[in-house]
Amino acid sequence: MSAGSAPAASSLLEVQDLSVRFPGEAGELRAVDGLSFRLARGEVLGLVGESGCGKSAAALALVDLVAPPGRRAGGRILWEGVDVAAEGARGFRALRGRRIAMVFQDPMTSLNPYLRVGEQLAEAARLRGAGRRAARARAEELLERVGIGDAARQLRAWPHELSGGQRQRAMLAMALLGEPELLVADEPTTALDVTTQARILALLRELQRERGLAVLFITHDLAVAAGLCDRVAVMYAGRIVEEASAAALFTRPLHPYTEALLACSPPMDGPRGARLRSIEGLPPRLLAAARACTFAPRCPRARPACHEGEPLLEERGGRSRRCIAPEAELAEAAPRG
Amino acid sequence: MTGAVAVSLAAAILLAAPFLPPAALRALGGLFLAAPLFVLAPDRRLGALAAALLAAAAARWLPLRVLRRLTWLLPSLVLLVFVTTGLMYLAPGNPFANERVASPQVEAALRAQYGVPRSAVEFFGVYTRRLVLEGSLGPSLKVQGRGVADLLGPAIPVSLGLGLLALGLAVGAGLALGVAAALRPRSWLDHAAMGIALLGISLPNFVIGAGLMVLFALELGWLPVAGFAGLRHLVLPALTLAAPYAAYVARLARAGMLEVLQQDFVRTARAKGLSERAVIQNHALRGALLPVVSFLAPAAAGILTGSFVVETLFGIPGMGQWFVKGAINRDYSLVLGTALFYAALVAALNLLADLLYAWLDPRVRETR
Amino acid sequence: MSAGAGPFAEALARLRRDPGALAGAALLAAIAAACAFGPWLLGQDPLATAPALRHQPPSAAHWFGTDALGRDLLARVLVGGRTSLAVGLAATAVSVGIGTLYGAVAGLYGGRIDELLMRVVDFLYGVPYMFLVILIMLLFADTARGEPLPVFVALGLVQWLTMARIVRGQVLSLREREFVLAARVAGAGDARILLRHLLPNALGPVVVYATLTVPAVILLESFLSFLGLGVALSWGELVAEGVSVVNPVRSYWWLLAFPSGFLAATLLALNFLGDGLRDALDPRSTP
Repeated sequence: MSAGSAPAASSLLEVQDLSVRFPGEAGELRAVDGLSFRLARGEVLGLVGESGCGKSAAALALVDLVAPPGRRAGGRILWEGVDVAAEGARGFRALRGRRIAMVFQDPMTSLNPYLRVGEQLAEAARLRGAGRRAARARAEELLERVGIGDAARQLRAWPHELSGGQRQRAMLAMALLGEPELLVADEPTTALDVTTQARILALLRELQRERGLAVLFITHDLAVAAGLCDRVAVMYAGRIVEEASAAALFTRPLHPYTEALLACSPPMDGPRGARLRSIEGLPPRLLAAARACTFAPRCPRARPACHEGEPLLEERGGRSRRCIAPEAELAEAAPRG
Repeated sequence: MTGAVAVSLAAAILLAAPFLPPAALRALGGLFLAAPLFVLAPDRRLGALAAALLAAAAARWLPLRVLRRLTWLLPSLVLLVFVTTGLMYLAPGNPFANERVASPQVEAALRAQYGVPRSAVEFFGVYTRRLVLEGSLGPSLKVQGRGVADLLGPAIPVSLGLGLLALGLAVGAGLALGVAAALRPRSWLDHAAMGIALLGISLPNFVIGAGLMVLFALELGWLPVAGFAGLRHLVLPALTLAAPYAAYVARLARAGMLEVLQQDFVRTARAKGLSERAVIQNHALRGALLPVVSFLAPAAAGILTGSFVVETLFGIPGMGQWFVKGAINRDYSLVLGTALFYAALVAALNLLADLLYAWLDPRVRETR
Repeated sequence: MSAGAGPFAEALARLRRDPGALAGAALLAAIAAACAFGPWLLGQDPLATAPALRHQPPSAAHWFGTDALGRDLLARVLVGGRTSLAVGLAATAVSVGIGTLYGAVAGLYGGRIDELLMRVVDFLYGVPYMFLVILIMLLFADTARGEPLPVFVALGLVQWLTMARIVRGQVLSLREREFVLAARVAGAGDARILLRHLLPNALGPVVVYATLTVPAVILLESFLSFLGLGVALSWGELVAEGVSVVNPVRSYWWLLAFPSGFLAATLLALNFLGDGLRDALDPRSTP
């Protein structure tokens, strides 16, 4: 049953202070460092950040699939209020496929090249108790639903015979066959061309609405997040720096990093020949606990206090931010339409 | 004449093979696959019909890669026979030189009787003609009154049995060891398994054989020491033959398995919720199998040649001993008989390994 | 990009950290030193027969015991080691020489020449090679018995095929790199490009394979010895002798144990070293 603070009752997934570390030559790299967020049933949450900010590691940690020597180093993962790690590895295995399904970034390598598409899909259906015939039927059904024409024939196809877009659709079908409540999509369209990308995103939206799926959508592409997500969390150096509803985040960013990210995309109505803006410097790779704001070295709004202590993630009015600069200061900067 | 023609043709086909169009490859491949059928058939006409059907079917249904291999098959055998004949003629001594009555007339008579002319190319011609037209391996030049086929006949199942048993053991034990090691990398099991494997390839097989013999036959008496009177006699020899190959297979399987376990699609399989066992069995195992299958053909060839030594050590009446005897006695037909057998077997195994690999890895299959 | 200190120094550093490879190298050096200087230092004659002392187990006078003719086994093992190591090195040198040249030519000229050359290699691969080697040795046994040269050549001939394939592969992939183009533009001819630019960079896998070929050749020689076709006094022959006297009544274990021990130790050392070299040059090949 549910335990913990008030909103937990409606949270499907709650992540508290999650850490993921990778051993390296110079010490242990903190890819994820104190990540916390909540996801409600049927909600689409976007997790946005630059490459290397730890988003994929976080996603894998949710189902305990961080590849060794990396490891989940701390924090709690609550599913419907219950700590998953309480049951050890079995707890996570119970979640995989059945409650939390994952779609990965690279469709070329995510499907088993030695098995036919139908076999791999049917495998997922059988985990839900379907017999062989029923499993094949369901697999065919779902292939149709995700837009792969001539599904009966494609069941017998090999992964290398499908195009990138088709493979990603097949991956989606495979994920859905497990009848999950949460779909974690780790940059599912990054490896695809723009047109296919748009179609897959549209498909995702449809499926989500149809089945009331909760979705954790991980991406570095703000535009994609804006179009698809209800809420968006911005991640930097292994933790959330801002979280808000998509609308609010994009019209009124309240963290300098979010602000800078948004400024990097050239506006459609801006002057021609203007220079592209970027954020100077590189994201940090944490080897020890941060003792100051991790964004401060690159932040145009940094002040002395930023270097003295870590800012906490503060919640106010339905959104959170991890910054000591007053809201007003950011709110009055260039509003975006 | 026939000899020279056959050799030139064979060499020409071999050299031209990479440049031949697919249609030619299909035709030749099918033809060469069916040729042995024609040669071995007791009834010529029935044999020709069956061969024609087989050739057509093969040309139509077999993948191009296999047909290409088949195209080389026959010319390779032809050249092998020719080279072996040449070597034997080159060596000092000949089958008839040791006869007590060594006068030139007697020798000439013997040569005529057995069909062994003075020139290598001529003999080659005679041999090939006899093989193709009569399906016969000829008479043994040293064992009076016996044909080569008679001598080799009983030896073939012995050697085949030994070889297959050894191959099975090598693959079975090697896979088990290699996969187990890969599933617990850097554990004591891993180190122990790889240590044993390394030992297996660092000792000559007859040393391992002698060791096994001492332990299991002489000391413990569980198994017979030597000779051949039943399957039990093949156990120690098979173990001996298999040992180094089991070691190679273990190393290959381990490396292959480790590589596959890092692949994305294994992660996907886990994310689907499959038990670790199912992940390994249904998804990862193929990765371990592929390098092993690629190794099958060279392993089989190695086991065949290793059998010379093992058969000698354990006194097994197999093909190996006839080969050695034939070479020492300059019994040309006998040597050629064993050479043909070995070469054909190796070729067949290569083909099988090819087909097996294609079955395991669908990306390698060609569309018709 | 050309053969400079960079990639080789890195590989060497990796090698130094590999305990297996280091142990292998040390063991090898020890054995080689023992074989080279041992007999001279110890003063025993490997060929001196002493019928009164036949089949003596190890003792203070004869550390490894004596054989059927009373000869000191320790001296025989050490001198035999010289032969075996020499055979291994010589045959490997032959196979590296032929294979490298062949593969380099195939890789450099590419196209039809490459196809043709590789076609020959593929054909030869299909030949049951040991078969031919044994045949050759059997046929020429009377004239060549005990002579090392035909054995070197025969064994070297067995191994060059894989070397040719490796070198060809390396040359093919290196051929298109910028430094080769630069050399051509500067007017270098084919031979020069081959020698000074391509081969040094192809060295890595060649060294690895050569290190793994030596034990294979020594093993092959031991098979030939077992069949009575090997070189006069080698580990292979000593082991074969040891095996031939295995009988249930009397155990002359030292005749088998010591030569086998040295053989196995050398081969193990070479295999460890070879594995270590391979990992050092291509760290991706192991976890």
